[in-house]
Amino acid sequence: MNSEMLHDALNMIDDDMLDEVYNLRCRKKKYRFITNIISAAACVCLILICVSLPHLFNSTDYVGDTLSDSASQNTYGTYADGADYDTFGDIGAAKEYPTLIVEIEKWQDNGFTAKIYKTVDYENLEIGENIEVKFNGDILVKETDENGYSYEKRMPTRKEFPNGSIAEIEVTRFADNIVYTSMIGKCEGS
Amino acid sequence: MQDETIVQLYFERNEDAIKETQIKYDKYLTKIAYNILSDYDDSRESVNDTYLAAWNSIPPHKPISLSAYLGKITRRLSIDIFRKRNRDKRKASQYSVSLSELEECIPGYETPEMQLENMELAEMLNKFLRELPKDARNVFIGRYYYLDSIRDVAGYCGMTEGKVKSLLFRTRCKLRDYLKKEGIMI
Repeated sequence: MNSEMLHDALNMIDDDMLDEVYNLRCRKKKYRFITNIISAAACVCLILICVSLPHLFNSTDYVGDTLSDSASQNTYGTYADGADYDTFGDIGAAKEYPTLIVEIEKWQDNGFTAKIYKTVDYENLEIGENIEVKFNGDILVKETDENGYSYEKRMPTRKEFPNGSIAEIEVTRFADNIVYTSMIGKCEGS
Repeated sequence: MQDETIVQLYFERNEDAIKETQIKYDKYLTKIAYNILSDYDDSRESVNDTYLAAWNSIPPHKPISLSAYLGKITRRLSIDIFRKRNRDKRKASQYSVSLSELEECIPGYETPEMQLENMELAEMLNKFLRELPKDARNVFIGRYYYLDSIRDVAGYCGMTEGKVKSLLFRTRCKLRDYLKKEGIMI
């Protein structure tokens, strides 16, 4: 017997077994069509997410209609989602992390020592307490202009934030009296 | 159109039967033929012969599964074309000429004994395939009946190519042992 005979014998396989594979082969085409659509949809979603990510990031920033209150130097505004938020001196704290207002005392490598000027929404520290602030590698510097706020990913400089100036920082981590921050911005009037 | 309706058209000797068969099964049959012949023109010839064979054989045959019935015809015709083509290619050498001349000494290409042997082998194959796990059986039929590529088989069986290869290897070994046990020498 040779393989040709086997092939001839294969031609006499029962129909039900052939139908089972026939159905699989047909399903494959439908399945491929569906997976192609899903893949295309996933790609579109990914592109949309990539495109809208910077906008989403900005939308969590303070975009409020800032109203200066000269007496208390407090401002009141709303986030993009409409939630009211009480900030200090038009600082517009980012929503994800609690914010502190600090008075910069002395610059150091990758940070500075500071005194707590106001605890906006961070309860672990008290006003007047001395802390050390360290910058995270991906720190953002908040720029303020007439159009609102924007963030720039770069290291802040001493010139921008001289000793004695007031700055807002986000508390991304606090350990051993060191506040690690990923955002720093000038406080209006500081 | 449902298979039963198409078969009914054949029984009524309505020529739309071929048209409907072509609409529903042309791609499927061409794929089977092409997997064997690797030539589009030969595949078309084989598929067209299939329609003619179906027209001539239904009735009296009344296939329960039209896809399997037509697939078997296409497969058989394509294998015949393949063998004929290879014989023609070999005709160039004197050795082949002598072989074809000597073939005349053999009483018939397919003797009744050979036919019986084929039937027995087919029965054994059916029994063997039925005893196999479903996955292994589908992979085996996909590869050796439909002659699909390993990649295609892996695709529609939902497996990796590596798994298909190893399943095929193990099934071939099992088949060899099974046929040996049944007294058939390969």
